[in-house]
Amino acid sequence: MSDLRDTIKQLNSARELALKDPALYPQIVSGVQAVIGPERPVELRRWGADFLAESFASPVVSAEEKQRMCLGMLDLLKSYLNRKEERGEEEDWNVVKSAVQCAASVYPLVFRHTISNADDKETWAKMASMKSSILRRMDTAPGSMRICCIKFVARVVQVQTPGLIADPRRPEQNETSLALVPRDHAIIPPSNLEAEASGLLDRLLGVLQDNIPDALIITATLNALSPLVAKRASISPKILSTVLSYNPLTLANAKMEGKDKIAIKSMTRTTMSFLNNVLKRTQHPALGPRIHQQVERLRHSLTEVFSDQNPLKRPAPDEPTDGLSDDKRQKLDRDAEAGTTPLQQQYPPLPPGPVSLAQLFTLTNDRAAAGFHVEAIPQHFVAQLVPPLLASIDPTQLDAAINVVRARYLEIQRQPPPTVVQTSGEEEDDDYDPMTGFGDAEQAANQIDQLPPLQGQPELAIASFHLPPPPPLTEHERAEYSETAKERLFGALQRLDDEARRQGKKQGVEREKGFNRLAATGGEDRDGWIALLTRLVTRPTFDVNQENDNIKQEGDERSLTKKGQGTIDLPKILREAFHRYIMDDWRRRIDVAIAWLNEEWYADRLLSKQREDEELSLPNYTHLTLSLLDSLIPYLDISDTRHLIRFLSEIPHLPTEIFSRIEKLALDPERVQLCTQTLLYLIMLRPPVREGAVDCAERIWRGNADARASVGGKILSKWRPDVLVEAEEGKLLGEGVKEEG
Amino acid sequence: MASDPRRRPAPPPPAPPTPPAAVADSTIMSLDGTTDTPPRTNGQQQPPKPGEEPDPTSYKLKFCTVCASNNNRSMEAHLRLTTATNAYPTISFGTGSLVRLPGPSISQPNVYTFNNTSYESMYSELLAKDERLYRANGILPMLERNKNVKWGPERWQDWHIGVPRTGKRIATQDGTAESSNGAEAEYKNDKGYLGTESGIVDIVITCEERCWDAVLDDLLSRGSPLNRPVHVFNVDIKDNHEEALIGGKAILELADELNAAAGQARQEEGGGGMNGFDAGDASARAGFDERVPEVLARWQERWPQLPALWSLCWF
Repeated sequence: MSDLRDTIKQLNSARELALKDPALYPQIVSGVQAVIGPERPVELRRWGADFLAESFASPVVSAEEKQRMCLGMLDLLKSYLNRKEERGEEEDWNVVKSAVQCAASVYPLVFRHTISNADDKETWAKMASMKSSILRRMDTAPGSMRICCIKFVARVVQVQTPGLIADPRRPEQNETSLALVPRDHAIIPPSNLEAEASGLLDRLLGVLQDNIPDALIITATLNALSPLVAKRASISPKILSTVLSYNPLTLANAKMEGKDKIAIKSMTRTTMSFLNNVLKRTQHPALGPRIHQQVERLRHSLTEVFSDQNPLKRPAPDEPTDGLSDDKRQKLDRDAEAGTTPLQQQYPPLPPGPVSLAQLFTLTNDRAAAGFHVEAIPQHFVAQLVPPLLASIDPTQLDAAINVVRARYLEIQRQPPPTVVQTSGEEEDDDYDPMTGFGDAEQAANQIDQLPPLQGQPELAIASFHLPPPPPLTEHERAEYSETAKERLFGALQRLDDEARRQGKKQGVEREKGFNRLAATGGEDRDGWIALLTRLVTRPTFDVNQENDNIKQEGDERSLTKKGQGTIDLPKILREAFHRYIMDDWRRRIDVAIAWLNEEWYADRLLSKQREDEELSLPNYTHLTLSLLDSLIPYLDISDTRHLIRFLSEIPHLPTEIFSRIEKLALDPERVQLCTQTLLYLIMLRPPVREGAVDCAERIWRGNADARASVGGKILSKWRPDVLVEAEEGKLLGEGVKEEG
Repeated sequence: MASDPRRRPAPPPPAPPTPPAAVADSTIMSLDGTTDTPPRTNGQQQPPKPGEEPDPTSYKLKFCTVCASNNNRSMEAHLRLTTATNAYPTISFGTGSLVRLPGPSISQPNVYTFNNTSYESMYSELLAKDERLYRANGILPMLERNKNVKWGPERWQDWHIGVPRTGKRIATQDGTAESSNGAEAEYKNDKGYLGTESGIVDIVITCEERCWDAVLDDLLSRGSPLNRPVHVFNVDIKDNHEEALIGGKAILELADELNAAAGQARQEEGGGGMNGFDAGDASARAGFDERVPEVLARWQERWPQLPALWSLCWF
């Protein structure tokens, strides 16, 4: 065994030498001939056959070289192929397979040799013997070997069919084919060989015509035929028409298993490749469209067969044979339940207790049918439906139904009529079904209408229900709730203020402002909320339960302090909160103050009207205005003229007490100018208070020496010059006194 | 989420500890009922150490993985196949016209040419461009992995099938611009080099139907001069890092099963019954090639989310 291994090792290194330097091939091939002879062990013969096949196929060895080499090898090859005849024992098929491959490579070489050496009968005889040996066994050989035989045959056909002669002057350049053989060749008469080739071709094509399911043989044949189509124009139409009529998909059926599927797919794809290759390489004006068509058809069928893993045919619908499928069974059950089958025509009894008209006439247990509201059908349809329906009804059945209803009705009449309460109680009973109860309330009412008048029934009266009064609020609780209410109101305002500040001036929506706006829209923006707040603050003074005279009595402090409710006064709290709110940022909130005071004034006016006062009294307004002004005055700056003027000009009414405040303000020499301008404004643009303002100016002039120049020059000189004149006189007098004194 | 889900978490483990081949073997045995034949002994599964000859009696299929740019899916599979306990001879290719890697936006991909750009140069270029971006989208980790697997991306259509892959790469032999940094780029530095010297594989696995079509079309156009059968599989894998990882695992599993089937077929022959060319009963002992559809179907049942295709082609 180790001997054998060493030998193979040596053979391998020899082969490597040849692979590295192809020029060594002849030397090595003849050198190993003795080692791989028929008497040697099977391993060496295998190696030898493989090596020979490889050597004669090698593209790096020239054809002439191979042709010279092959002559010495024919005996060896023949011994491999004909071992049984020569030695009486069967050859290893691996050896034979390689030998057949080798023979396919050698055949053209020997053929060519024979062409040029017409007297070398012996060589051709050896080749012919091998050929007949291969052909004889081709059809019975196992697949592995058969494909090699097929290839050999294809090669023989290629050689024994006339090919193109590219250059007649240089025969060594031409491809080996029958065209090179002289017509009168002694050993290889061309006509015989061509006939043989034709027969062999038929044998090859038979594989396709028989449509055998062996993918190995089919693909091997197709791939072996391809060079014939390309290089042998004389036989290519025959091959092509055979391939075109070959359709491996006819083997496809619903019960394909994995192996068959792959085999059929592979055969089809190989056929398509074959045809595409032909289409690409050669121009067949006649067959071109047909080839194209066939490729497309194969592609379509292939996707159809293998697209969805489904069998070719849709399976029969899964239907029970006894006609008792679940659907039908359910239907029968439903019939039985509803009692609509004629055999079991039993009308259900009426439910216990009071019944509706619908229940009275319901003769089926089928809830869906009983719950169907016939008004859902348009009237004209009903008109069309009823006559044929009536005509088709079995009269006996109709009579029976009528009798049942009649019996039911009589039965009901005998029962005492139900009460309203009972009826409504039954409606909501355990068996309530929204489907059947459709329209029951109305029908119950109808039924009651038809019943005889109620007699002897106990009168049903619904006693009025009173919630127990809540425990009275304690003082502390009231204060707490008032505070909470205030905080919530002003908390919202604070939030809206913040929002308004954030949004700045870009408030897109122009809203109705001032008195005209609806307080009810409040809450969405600051203005709205202020409107709401001002009205909330001012209006509670109208207590609905309050008597007019009460108001009279209470005067300024009238609102909630009455009835001994203690010191908690929500409007007062709210007003204080408002006051604080304005004072927090009075320059900016002066508009709020004005709006608020306007509301106060209006409320007071309304109240005054309500009380039918002889003269207008504005208790709240006056008090609040003055207190607000008192709070403002300490903060008024010389630059705040604008704010003071605005405040005083826009509040609806100026109580006379205001001027005393202005007088006091003028005591501050810095703010004299402020007072002067304010007074001037009031004098000029608010005629109702002009008199008071001028009086005020005069008082200032008289009492305040520092303010004299300003007030006198701007106001009194125009509006009360007589004072100035008087003063001038007095002054002169005074001076005179001084001088005198 | 702490990390980008598309991001490759870490360089893949050099050798997954689970031996999927054993699992695959058990299914094969149970299905075929041929439990009397041990598939392969553990000794045979030892990956050959570098510089040591592989066990001549062990049989290994040669694989080729193919995707669009020979960067993500095919390279993940390449790595998986070559770092498994039973490492396979593997090469890999891309079928696209150019190597396209995601760039800062979908309309600005990073484009490189096949065959003469190394993963190393791409890596250093993208590292210089925007390390944060390319690390975040997983490109740099991917290239880092790739440059440890082989020198650079190769284009399927430019592959000279059957030309020995020995010595230096063609691009560097030509003495092109890459010669300075690619002078040392030899085929034998690629992972899974042992066994691919002859430039031929037994199994091609593409990662996208487009690539499968391209491979088939290319093989048909080449005219199959080598007369050698090759199984071309497609395993549909979405082109992202996560799917590539899953796909790599699935491909390794498929490879293990295919290899087990091939080894079994070979052993049955070599071991006893001379079921050969003249055997009348073909179905009694199936060769490797006939077993392929079954193996694939079984695999597909376990990986239904990776739709497979297959065809027997000729080199």
